[in-house]
Amino acid sequence: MKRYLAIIVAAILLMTVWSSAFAVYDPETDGVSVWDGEITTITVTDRLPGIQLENNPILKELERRIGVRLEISVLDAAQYNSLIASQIAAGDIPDMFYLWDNSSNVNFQKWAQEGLIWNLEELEDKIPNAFTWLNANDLAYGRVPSLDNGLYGLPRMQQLTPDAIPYRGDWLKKLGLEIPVTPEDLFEYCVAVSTQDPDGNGIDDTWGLFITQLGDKGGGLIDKNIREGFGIEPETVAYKVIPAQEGFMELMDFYHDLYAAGGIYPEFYLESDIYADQEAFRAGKVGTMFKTTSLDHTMPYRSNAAEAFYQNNPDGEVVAGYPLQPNGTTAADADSYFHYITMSCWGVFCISKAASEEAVDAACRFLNFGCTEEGVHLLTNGIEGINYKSWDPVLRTKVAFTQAEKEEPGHEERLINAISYLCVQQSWANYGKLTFGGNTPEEKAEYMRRYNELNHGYIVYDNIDTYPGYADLKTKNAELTTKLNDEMMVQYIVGGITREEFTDWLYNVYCPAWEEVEDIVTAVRGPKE
Amino acid sequence: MPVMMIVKQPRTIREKLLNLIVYIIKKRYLYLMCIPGLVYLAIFSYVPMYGVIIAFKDFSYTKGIMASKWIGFQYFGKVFATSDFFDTFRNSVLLSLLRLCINMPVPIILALLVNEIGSTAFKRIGQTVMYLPHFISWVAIGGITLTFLSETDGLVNIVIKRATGHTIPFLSSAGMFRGLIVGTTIWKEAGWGTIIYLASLSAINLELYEAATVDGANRFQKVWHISLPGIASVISIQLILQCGNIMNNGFEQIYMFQNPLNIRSSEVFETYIYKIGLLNTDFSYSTAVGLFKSIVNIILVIIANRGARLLGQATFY
Repeated sequence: MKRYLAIIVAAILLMTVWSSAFAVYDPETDGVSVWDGEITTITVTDRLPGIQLENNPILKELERRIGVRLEISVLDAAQYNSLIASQIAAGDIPDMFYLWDNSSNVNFQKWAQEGLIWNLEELEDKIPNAFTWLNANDLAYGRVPSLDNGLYGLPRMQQLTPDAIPYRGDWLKKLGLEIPVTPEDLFEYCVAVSTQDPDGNGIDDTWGLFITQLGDKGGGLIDKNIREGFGIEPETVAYKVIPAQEGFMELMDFYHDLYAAGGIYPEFYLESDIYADQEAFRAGKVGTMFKTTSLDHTMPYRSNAAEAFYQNNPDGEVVAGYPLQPNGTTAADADSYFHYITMSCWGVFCISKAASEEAVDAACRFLNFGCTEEGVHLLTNGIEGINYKSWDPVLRTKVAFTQAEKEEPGHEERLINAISYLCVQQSWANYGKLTFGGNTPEEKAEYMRRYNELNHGYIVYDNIDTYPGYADLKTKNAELTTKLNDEMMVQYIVGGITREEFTDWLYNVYCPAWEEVEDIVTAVRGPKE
Repeated sequence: MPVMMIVKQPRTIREKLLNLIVYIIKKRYLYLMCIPGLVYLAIFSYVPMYGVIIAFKDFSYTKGIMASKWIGFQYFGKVFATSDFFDTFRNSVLLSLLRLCINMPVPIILALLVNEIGSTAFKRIGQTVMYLPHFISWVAIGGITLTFLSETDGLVNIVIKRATGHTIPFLSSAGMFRGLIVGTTIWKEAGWGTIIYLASLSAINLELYEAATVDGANRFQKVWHISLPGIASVISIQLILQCGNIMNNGFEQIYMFQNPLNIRSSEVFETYIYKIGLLNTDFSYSTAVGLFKSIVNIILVIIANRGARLLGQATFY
């Protein structure tokens, strides 16, 4: 009896081994291409906050499709650029790495000049998709102008989404106000939120605004959502850096007055977490946040963020406002105003010159795959049935699992999210949106309503970071920028220094150091009309 | 009368070496116990020290430390040409001097007080309670301090506001920053700092106290004439060590309490080096600043050691 049993077990084992050893990919059944060569492992360093890498089905699928196994080192997201610089300085150079910054990153320039990373144009035959997927403006983010304008990093382009400022719709109703359109409206709303207890808890614990990350452009105080209300234009339009423009002091005065009127959380300067404003908004403590926020941030379906908001504010409502217009205008004038929006590049991928030939080939396969519809879909959305329920390629709608479905026993893999910063591209070619929001038809309809309402009057402009000479100027003035952001602006807003002290430093020290900007922009765009 | 002269033969190097080997063999177990410490010191303190040469090099990522191009003292010139450097230097020295003058005596006083406690049980419990804050990280202490001293909703300022009608900007005033650092350092480290003094006090011969009691000395006189002289050598050594740290203020504590409003007082070498070295990745320049700081520290140790010797106190060498 035992002998028969042993023979049966052996036969089953043999058949299993046989079938797996000679298994042939059948495109008819799988529907996707599968790698039939050797699997190459490459080392990769990336910024992947909160991503489970072990047993990640997306990485396994990637291996199956393109034969690349990624051995990933994850560095702390908040200090990514300095940590990768330290890693490389220590001689531990990964085959491929992500740099969380665009071409103006000082180290990126230096690494290219020292021959540490590949000029990707030399590898064009291995990553042809990148050169068709991205246009010349996109590729500019990966170029090093001082080095024959070579392409040393593959830019990771994000989808264009209308800028929008989220406000508390329920508070606006309580306070009898409309969605702010101008700086004056915003001022009134912020002061009302700070002084009229809109959450009705009887405690003085709400504020109009919570400022976190500061920055001379792009983020924080001078965010693109607010600066146009003060007539501030991008550097490539104004031919000046933002602090040298007339509207800058008007903007600073706005903050100074708003702070004095109690409209800003008084100890904002103690906060080092760059996302503290979003957390405070979700916690129901502040009336708005405008730092690099887009329409997506105003949508109720935004998974964890929305859940956190509605848990804290079950009766709350978030509404979307258009970027600010100058004082004296109204919402009806919106069509007369436009808003500057730039292509959004979130970092570049670099390939090390120290990598072996096989590793370079594998890295190129990965980047090339990431610039295809198949690759973008896999890396950003994941796998149907595992990372999401279903995908409608026409409507570009992804139906996600609900939290309850994610937590169903036996479906732990549903809790694994897509791999964020490892996505080579986060937009379809020509910046088409990857997904239109919403997990249900109702949510999608609401998103489309807001999208159509806001998606007008945008002008896509050049980012000065891509202009030759700007990176060097930025490096030269790094300490001045730090002083402006980390000290002078905050000091003036809270009244630590007088307006005279601030403008004296601004116009006699800071602005003269940036005068070259006019030449840099003129060299590319010609003299200002 | 014949005079017998004993002429001391000069010892050769070989003889000296032999004597040393014999001595080491004789004390072999003591030397064996030193080995882990020496290995640790060599690996973690001496081997990495070769990295300071990048202060004299134009550091290249591809060439590495050794192969990068020598540029001499160029970065040191840049150090002294930067206006921020002198502010940082002043802040570092002022804060260290304050710590030397205030933070150093506190554990001594605390140890003398604890030593006077009669009840052994109370003494042990008290010591344990005093040591506990040492084990809390600066990040946690920073959070606790912010919670207590915040002008918006901090407990201390709530009480002050109810009593006086206004708040005190403990966290946002450049003038209060040094006091904040000294105060939190005392809270965290004073208890832990008593250990070495208590150990030293326990080594004082009890008969001295008994004799003083017989002579009619009161408690204060016993502390002044017996306890303090008994730990004077330890105080001297601690002072020399502190002098060697006069340019060091630690990174975590300062960074936790630093903000745009107090930066004029709070920028010290540690935070400055972090910003230029790690955030701006200017490794050569930040190494030059660090090396300058270390050289000043060494000079101060030598001066303090010489001073202690002149005063007849214990010294390192």
